[in-house]
Amino acid sequence: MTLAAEQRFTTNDDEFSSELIDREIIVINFDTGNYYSLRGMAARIWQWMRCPAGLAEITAAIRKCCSEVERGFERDIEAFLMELLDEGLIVGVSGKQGPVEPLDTSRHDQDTGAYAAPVLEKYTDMQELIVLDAIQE
Amino acid sequence: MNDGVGVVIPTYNCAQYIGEALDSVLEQSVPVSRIVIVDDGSCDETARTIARFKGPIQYLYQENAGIGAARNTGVAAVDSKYLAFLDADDYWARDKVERQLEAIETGSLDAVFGTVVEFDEGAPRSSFMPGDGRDIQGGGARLASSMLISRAAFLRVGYFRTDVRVGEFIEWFLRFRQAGLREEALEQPTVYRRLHANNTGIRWRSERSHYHRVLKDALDRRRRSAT
Repeated sequence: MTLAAEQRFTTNDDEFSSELIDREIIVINFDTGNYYSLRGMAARIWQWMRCPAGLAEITAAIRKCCSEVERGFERDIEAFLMELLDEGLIVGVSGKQGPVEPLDTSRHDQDTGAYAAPVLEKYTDMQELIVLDAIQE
Repeated sequence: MNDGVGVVIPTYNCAQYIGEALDSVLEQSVPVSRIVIVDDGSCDETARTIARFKGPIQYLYQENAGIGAARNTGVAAVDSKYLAFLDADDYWARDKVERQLEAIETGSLDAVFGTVVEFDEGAPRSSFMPGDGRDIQGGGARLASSMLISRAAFLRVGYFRTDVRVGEFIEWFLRFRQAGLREEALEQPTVYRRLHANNTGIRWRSERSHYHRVLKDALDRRRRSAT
């Protein structure tokens, strides 16, 4: 399965809660107790995804902000987005969409320098505690 | 230090429930040696409600500082061999202490947990227990109210963090695990947990980012220890 070039996505804020802390994004699903860490390029992509963004925009933004980019890095990004989709962390944006603007590559609190493939780190070791502790209304 | 069980009950504006919590501790099949109630700045009838009870009860009042700080105050006031905690809006099963004492001593464990039954307006709603088929790893229900722990093990892990309003037990339990201490969970119900509009996790919804901070700190510790 591959992502359609025109498909755009955004973070699933209905089911997940995310915070940027010390250059790391921590994402929690309070219903399942799963939590995730995104660092480096993964954190940067997550921030871009706060507004709808698609594969083409993200790869263009990476070319712009990274000093060195590996050939074929687009496959890493597509696989990463697929993983985020599989976990439900991002959702497709449907309906009429406005014109695609280049992603903002200036507002970043870190300089990734050379490209490194984004990694999603998933943790399931605290499911029960998180579900029990964070009582849902 | 005595060989008994010291119980710490932090409370904040729970006058309507704390009587039921205290009854459940005083009516344990094995008596506890001491009950320390830490009133975390309540402005309701908590003090007057507690005054009606007789038993090895110590009432401490402090300015509101959060549940972690209140538990810490209670721990410092208890010199028993074992420690147990109970949130003021929950109550224990009558044989909780007896079953957990037996488990911790025969199993040479540092801590014992057990099933938590959540209830709303008197009707059991759900329960968390080992092997109950839920998609929850680890089994058992690790909550402060379901735990019995040796005081020595507690001090080895350290006190509760006081700079977070929610997630303080998650943070503490992550340190417990990282310390390599031994724990088990009983299948029997140990604590009945009341669900109501003022549960801490709901009350401090605006502080939900504290959960992220707790998990971030735990990941950082894990990464440091791996290098």
